[in-house]
Amino acid sequence: MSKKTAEVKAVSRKDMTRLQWTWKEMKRNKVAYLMIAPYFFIFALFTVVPVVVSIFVSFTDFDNLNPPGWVGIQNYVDLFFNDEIFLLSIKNTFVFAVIVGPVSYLLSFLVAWFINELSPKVRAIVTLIFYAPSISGQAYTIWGVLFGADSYGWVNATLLELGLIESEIAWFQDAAYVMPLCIVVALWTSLGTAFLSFIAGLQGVDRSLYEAGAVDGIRNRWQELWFITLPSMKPQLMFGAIMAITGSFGFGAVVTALCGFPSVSYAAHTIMHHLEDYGGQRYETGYSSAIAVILFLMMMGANYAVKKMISKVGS
Amino acid sequence: MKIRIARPKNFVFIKNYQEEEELMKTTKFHRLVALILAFTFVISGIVAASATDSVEKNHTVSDKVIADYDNLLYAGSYEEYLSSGAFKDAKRPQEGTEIVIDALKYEDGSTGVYVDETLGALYTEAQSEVTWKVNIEAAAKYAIVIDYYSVHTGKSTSIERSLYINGELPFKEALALSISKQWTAAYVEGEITLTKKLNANTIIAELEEAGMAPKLSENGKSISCVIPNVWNEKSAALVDKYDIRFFNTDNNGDEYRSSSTQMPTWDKYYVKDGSGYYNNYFEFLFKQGENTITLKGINEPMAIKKVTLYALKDHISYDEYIKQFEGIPEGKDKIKIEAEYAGFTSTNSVYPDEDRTSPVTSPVDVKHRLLNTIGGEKWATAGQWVQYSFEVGSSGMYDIVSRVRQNVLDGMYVCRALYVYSDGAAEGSLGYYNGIPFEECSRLRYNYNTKWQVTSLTDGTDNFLLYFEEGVKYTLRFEVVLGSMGDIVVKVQDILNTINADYLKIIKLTGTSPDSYTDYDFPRRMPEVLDSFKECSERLDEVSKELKKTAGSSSSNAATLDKVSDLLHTMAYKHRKVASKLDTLKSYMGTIGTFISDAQTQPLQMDYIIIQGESVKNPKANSNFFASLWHEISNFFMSFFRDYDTSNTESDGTQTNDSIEVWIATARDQYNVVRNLVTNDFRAIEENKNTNVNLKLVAGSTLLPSILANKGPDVFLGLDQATAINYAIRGAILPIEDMEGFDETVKSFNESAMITLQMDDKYGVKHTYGLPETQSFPMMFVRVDILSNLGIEIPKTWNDIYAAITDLQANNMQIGYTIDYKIFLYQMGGELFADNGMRINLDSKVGLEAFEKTCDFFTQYSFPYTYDAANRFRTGEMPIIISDYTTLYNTLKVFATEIDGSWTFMPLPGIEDAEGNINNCSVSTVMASVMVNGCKNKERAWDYMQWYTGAQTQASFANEMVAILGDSAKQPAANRGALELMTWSADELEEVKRQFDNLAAIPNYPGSYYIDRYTKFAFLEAYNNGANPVTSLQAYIDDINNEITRKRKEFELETLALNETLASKRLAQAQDELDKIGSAGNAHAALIQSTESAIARSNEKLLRASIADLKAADAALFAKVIGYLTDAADALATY
Repeated sequence: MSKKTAEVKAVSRKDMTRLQWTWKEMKRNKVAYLMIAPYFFIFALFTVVPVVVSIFVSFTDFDNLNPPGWVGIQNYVDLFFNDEIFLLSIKNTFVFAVIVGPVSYLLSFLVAWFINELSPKVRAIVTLIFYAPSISGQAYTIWGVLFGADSYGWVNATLLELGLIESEIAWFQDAAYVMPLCIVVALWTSLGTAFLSFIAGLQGVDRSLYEAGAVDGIRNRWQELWFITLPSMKPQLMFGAIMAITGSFGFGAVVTALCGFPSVSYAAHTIMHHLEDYGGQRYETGYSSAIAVILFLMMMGANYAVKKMISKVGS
Repeated sequence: MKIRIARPKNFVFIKNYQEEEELMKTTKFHRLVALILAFTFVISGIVAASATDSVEKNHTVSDKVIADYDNLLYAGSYEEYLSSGAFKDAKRPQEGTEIVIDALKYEDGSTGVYVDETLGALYTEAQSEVTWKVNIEAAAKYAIVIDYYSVHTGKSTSIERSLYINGELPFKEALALSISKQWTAAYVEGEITLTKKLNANTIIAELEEAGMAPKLSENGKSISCVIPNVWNEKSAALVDKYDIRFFNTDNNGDEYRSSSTQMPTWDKYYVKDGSGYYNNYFEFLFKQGENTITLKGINEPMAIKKVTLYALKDHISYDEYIKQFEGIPEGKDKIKIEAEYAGFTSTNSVYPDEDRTSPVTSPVDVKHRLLNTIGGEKWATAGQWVQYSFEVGSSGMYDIVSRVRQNVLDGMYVCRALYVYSDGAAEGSLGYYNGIPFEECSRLRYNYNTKWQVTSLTDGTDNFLLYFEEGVKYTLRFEVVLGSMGDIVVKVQDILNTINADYLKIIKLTGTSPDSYTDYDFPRRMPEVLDSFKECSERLDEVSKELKKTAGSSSSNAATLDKVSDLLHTMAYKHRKVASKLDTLKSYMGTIGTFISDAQTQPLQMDYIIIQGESVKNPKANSNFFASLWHEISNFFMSFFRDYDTSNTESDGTQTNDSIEVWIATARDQYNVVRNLVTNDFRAIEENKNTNVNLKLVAGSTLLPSILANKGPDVFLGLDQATAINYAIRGAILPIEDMEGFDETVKSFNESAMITLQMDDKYGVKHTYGLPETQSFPMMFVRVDILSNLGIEIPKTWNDIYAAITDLQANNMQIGYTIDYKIFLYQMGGELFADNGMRINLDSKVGLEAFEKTCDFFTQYSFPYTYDAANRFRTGEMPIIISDYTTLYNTLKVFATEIDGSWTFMPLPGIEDAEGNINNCSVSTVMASVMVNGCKNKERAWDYMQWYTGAQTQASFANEMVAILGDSAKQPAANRGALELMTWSADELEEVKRQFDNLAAIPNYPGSYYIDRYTKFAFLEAYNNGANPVTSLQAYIDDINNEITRKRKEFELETLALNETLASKRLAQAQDELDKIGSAGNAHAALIQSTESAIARSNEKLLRASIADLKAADAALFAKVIGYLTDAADALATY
């Protein structure tokens, strides 16, 4: 539309600087700007500003209470050269993200795809069942009961009863089991918003495309999926991917709830935990901001990679 | 076919035997060192012990032995006493027989008593024992009444005594006789605001006539009057007509309760059951000839004038009672007494409270908080009473109508006993009363209903009338009793005790989780248990029938009893099912326990009492639908305008600049209590009169951002020690050691509590950053019934524990312990930090040993690492548990009522040295009140902090919490004085104080948080993988020290390099200085050389000698050297 009007007015864009042009456009569409203003204001104030501030803080020695002092890139230097636990937490985060991210993504999609075949009423019920773990807040604490370190913990009690173990195992307190268990729990809770958006996306695919596809020589369900279904729901795929990435990179609260903080021998210590450790326990907000910035960059990178991959869908 | 017994985790060791061997080599060396060290310890111990022998030896160790609990565990109940042959054969003496014993004629050998001249009575202290002799003509059963004076102590604990006849405890219930005190709420003058419609003179005349001492205010705008002591028709009507209220109001117009005060008075105590199981007074058997009566003090002092033995007389029935008044017309008066104006109460926990649920509650106001009812869940324990006094203007028969609500005990009813006392009627006359007028009054019944009800005196079937005579002052006392529930509860309790004993017998054989496929052969091995099950099952059936009969319908409670009965029946007749049903039995025992404690709570909320003729129509109990709807709607809208936060500005509204803002991060209950205390007590102190306290309830996490934004409070209550120091070191909390009277204030706290709130600044100056509110620490909880059963003595030392482990584990039982190595560390005389917090001390000999000992419990002795303490304690799997004293105590009080009386808690076991001294110190944590940076009025804030952490305030707070939440709301007060004033029983208090006197302090140095983290890692490595605890801990020492150093650098505090000690650092510095002196020191070459050799040998004694020599030689020249050397010598002394 803007192009058209520009031609009509016969004022070429080339006659103005970019800024002038933008301003002119803004004035023309002022109603639209007015309407997004409230949201934009709040978004900026509570999301953009904190992110920017956090980047600034990462170059200081801010301790939450005293005025911050500028330390340059010292925090980053410490992070990469003086902090073994940070490197450990990066490793853990990657293991986590690489396993949980894609698996949960695929799982979400597959489950959504299967459910989509069901009749609407059954679908609603099954959707609720799969979605329940992620909406019911602290439901993952059930894992704490199942794998309690007590001899009365369900798994321990069962294994003891069957004579498979001699004495109780402190599951979430044992470095050998912590990571695998947390991954299982993470997968269990991962059928969240992404999963719902997939269902919505699958619902939104234009049925006539399938007919057209059949005419054009689609031979099986896989081809149908690859050439029609997936391309038509790219926005949902993208959304799901971003949710999966942020979810798996930012996974921490569940581990804390199940394994305590920090987890035994840092076995499930993720970047998120490291950030909490410095920010919450040691009052080194500057340092923890630096960690946050790194985490932010990692997520950005992962998002970019995923975007690239998704653009390949259907080709 | 397997019986699981606890076994050490040796399978891990077998796997790792190669490693084990290597470890052995190192441990051999360790042992040698240990031997030498132990030897030196012993010697130094002897030296130290001989130096400090003034304190009573081991006064922090409990002196209780299992035998002390025999009475409690094995004495028969009153029920058994009643059914004993001797009791049945004995007769009551002739009616009217009274044997009076003058209290002053007590026997020699009584302790803790003296004659109080002013009272003309015998004063008996809380811990006292007094014996009287009495001659009985013929053996008979007597009841006992004691004329006593409840001495003022201000403690809300009731007086408790145990009674012995001829030196023997007659029955279990006589162990804890509870004798009530009298409390009164401080009502203020009521006020009538004059409007045009009201004529001051007529009102004054009216009030004058009613005897309410009216006074016109100076500005002539209002009339004030006093609350009548004795209500009559006129005063009651006037209060109703003019809405006169006798409570304080704040400047929002909300009423607040003034604190109750204890009124010492003469009263009679009829010896009866404290828990309310038995409705009748106790009767005791006396033999012919000389008998002795002994009263042993448990709690609180009292003065005794006389003890009277008398023949108990059964109450007459209502039919007999009413026969006396045939033909007497009904009374014409109508007196409505608001229940919130109780003349006296038996305890300060029964007090006026607000009800906003009904528009006809009298009075009602949606805009303001009115304390318009009394009781509720706080008026629920047997023996608690409230009383009202009144006078009627015309003699006659009266109906006593009250508006009450009992919406707690679903499907059950609650009971009250009504005592009537007359003052002014001749004994034997018609209007004379002294106690329960007729039998039915001992169990008046109030049914369950979610709504309010208006009811006459009733036993469920008939309504009762009472005769009152004109001009006589009558007092009605409503006392909580269990009524017919009492019988049932006694029986159920008895059955539960039996089942409990049987259960313990079984788990001794099978363990707590028996194998359901094993034939344990119960009929041969414990036939008595099966018989007992049979009997209990039958008895439960009977009780359940009785319960259904009394409650009128079958309730869930009766069903519970039926279920248990069925289960016992099955277990008794199918012995092979005993094992598999044991779990169910265990949980049912808990259910019965809950039933018992439920049945003992008899809550009732009362709105008003009306004394009127029978023919007068009762007021409506509830409003109609529309009125209720309107009430709810207006309530909802008014909730937007009511201010729930601020407090304390009194209605005179004088504004001062002395206002402080106080934040508290607790639940609303606690907040309300503190708020009440501020309004009632804080401002009552003269110098705080003008201080406005703005108390706010906040979430704990708001403090940090608010300080950052400079919008913080002046005082913050309830901050934990670690956070307090964390904030303090970053300048967010103000040091308070320079405030006026600091030294005096601190004396009331345990030194260890103060140490945790202290911190050196970078100049080495010590600051204090808060006053402790609570101090919690672990103590040892013991199931005395089980230990007594197994013949295990209460452990006093860890050696006793080691010995007990074998016995307990042989019976499938465990000991509950935490992985808190600090207890061992400090009991062995170690310290967590060395060199003023510059490095961790866990790599020292004592540190490693303490850690290893703790780990061994879990690795070698199979202590469970995770467990539900309350549950395992209750089932008897863990008869000994070491746990935080208030937390576990509170849980057990609500959660495990069925084992009440069979457990106790006491100081930790300790480590005994060669001299027999036991160090049983415990490690505490503290919550504190702090003064926040930015505080505008430090003096006022300091006054507030002093007042708040003071003994009286903390005790009031703790007692209020107990009053509101029950016995399970014990606070771990940090103020020693407050501990004494709290509602602990004397025995409990004694144990708490013992431990309180031996607490270790761990300072909060920067980097502390890292220690717990890594010691836990080390522990888990040992626990999970069988690693050697010592080596795994040693691996983390450097990490911890690095973090400490890193943190100290952040705060510009002195640091040490890795593997450096303060001594070695100072010695190096001294050497440097010596080198620098160079030629200037030529004159002292020999001295320097000897100093250098002392430095090289880093021997404290040599260093001290050198220091002395250097000082003598040239103090100025060697100033720096001397400084360093002194530091080094001091540091060496601590290693």
